[in-house]
Amino acid sequence: MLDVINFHIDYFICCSLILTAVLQISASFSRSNLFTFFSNPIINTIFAGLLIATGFIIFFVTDNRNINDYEGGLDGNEQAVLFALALASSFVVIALITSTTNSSKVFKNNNCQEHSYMCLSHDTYLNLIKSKCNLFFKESRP
Amino acid sequence: MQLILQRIKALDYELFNLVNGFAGDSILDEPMLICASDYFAPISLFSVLVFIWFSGKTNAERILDQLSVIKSLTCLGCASLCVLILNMFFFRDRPFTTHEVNLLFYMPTDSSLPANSLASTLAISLPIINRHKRLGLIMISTSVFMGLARIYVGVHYPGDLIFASLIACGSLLLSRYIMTLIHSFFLKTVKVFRKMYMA
Repeated sequence: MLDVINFHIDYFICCSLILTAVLQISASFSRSNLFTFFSNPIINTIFAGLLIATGFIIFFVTDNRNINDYEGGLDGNEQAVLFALALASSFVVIALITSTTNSSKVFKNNNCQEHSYMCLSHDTYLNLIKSKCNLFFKESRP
Repeated sequence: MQLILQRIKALDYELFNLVNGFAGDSILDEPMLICASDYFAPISLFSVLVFIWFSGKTNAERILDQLSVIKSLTCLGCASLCVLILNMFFFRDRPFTTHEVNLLFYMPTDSSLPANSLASTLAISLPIINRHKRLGLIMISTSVFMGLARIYVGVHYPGDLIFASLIACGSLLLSRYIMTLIHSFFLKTVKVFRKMYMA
């Protein structure tokens, strides 16, 4: 039973590391600079590459991963759920870290009208969510 | 008809032997095992989909990218459904149950035909090629390589892969039709994600 849980945790950790890296590379590509760990895109991409390698190495080198799904492996549905959870957690972790580290880089007179991931080029994720909530409560007040 | 089927099966087995014959004491065994695993190709391909979803530089580019990701997921759904239906009617023994093979992998119990892993990974990859030619080609190569690795480790015949590829192509056509039906739903979903700054 413990082995089964370990396998699930290993898969989750591997996916989280890889997806954190993928989100960093895509943020560099889309110039969403306030969603990246490093302001230099080259350093950010190298860091992401190392994260991807670490994720795969941790998963495949530490144990035998060729196991049938009824003997402790993961079936397709379990993989999909864990992958989605890993994506959500990576997104949240990046949002929290970059909102803290990049708070000084926010454009002061920022007014992002387009309401999309593109806004992360001017503002941090938590600031955007905060202003969205403020706007919502302001509008819903009688 | 029976004779033709027997000839095809014999050819399939010969091709299988040609690839699987290298397995056992080769330095390729470990890398092939990783490529053939249930995790390497799916994680890589889904990670590329995540990259495509977030990497567009303008809103117009982004919406087309996100459309291709949704197409990819729809195609995957269609391929999985086709495999599920086919498995109700067909069952082909795995190579290791009827022949002596160099088995490096665990022993799957489901039908060998069609190769469901290749059908799924190709179904994810094919719709991307319209929007991102280079990324799409890399994804298709990864899928095909995973299929070949599965012959090498002794769990599929080459014929299973050909059949899986046909299923993936059929699913692509079916998903194109389904996308025309769910296009407005897709736009609404993207709008919700955009409000949360996730698209």
